[in-house]
Amino acid sequence: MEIPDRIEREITIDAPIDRVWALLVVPGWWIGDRAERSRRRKGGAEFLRGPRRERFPVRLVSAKPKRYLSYRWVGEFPGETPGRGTSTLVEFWLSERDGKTRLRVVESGLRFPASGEKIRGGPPKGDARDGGCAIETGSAA
Amino acid sequence: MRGKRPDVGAVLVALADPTRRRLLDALADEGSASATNLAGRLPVTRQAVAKHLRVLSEAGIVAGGRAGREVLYRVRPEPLDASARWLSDLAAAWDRRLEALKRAAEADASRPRGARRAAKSRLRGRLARRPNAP
Repeated sequence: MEIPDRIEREITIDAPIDRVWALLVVPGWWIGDRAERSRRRKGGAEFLRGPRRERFPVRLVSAKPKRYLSYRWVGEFPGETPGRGTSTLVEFWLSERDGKTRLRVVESGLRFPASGEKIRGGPPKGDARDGGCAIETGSAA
Repeated sequence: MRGKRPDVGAVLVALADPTRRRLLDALADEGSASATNLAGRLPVTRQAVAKHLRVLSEAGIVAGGRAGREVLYRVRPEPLDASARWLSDLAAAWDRRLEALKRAAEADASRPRGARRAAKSRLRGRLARRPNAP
């Protein structure tokens, strides 16, 4: 009896890697409402509005141009600052073959955002900046 | 945004431990059992079993009921099913997002530079029309 705490999906896109990269680097592109994008930044995060006006903080964690990109976001808890304990890590890997782009996404750390005590207490001080990402990036890579 | 997710986090935490997974499997086998019975089936102490049962109970995966002088535990499948469903909904949400990205990139690929910015807003528009809730 095992339920993983990560989601992994892949897709092949019939477009060169730089086109895909250009779309991926828009923080929170998957939330999908450009008009509602908020300019407010807090703890290095950008706050985006979802289709039902929820606020989703998204923070770029690291990028290797046209190869790897990772974000932290708080899909479960609108309004929170992304950090360890309140956010999940979304990672994208890209590779190119015969002019097509293979894109892999992994969303990990799913078991942490739901532990209610951490949410109520907020992330530890300074956490918003470093986010404890090294740990999860390492394990998921 | 990902729909209702009552205790998925607690369920995932509870299942992250291999001993608890074995305990749960043993309990599912037995139908119902006391901490002492379960300790007999696993290479852990009764105290450890009791501790793990507490975590499982808090996650709602097992429930204990008094039967005479014992407490008998049994598996509650609903939170497990709900968690599995939530995860597959999340996977489906990512499939949709990747599809939208693919369409935007592919529509973009055959067009001149001027149209690329438009592709980005089309991507957002598409995702916005289809709420990301699974």
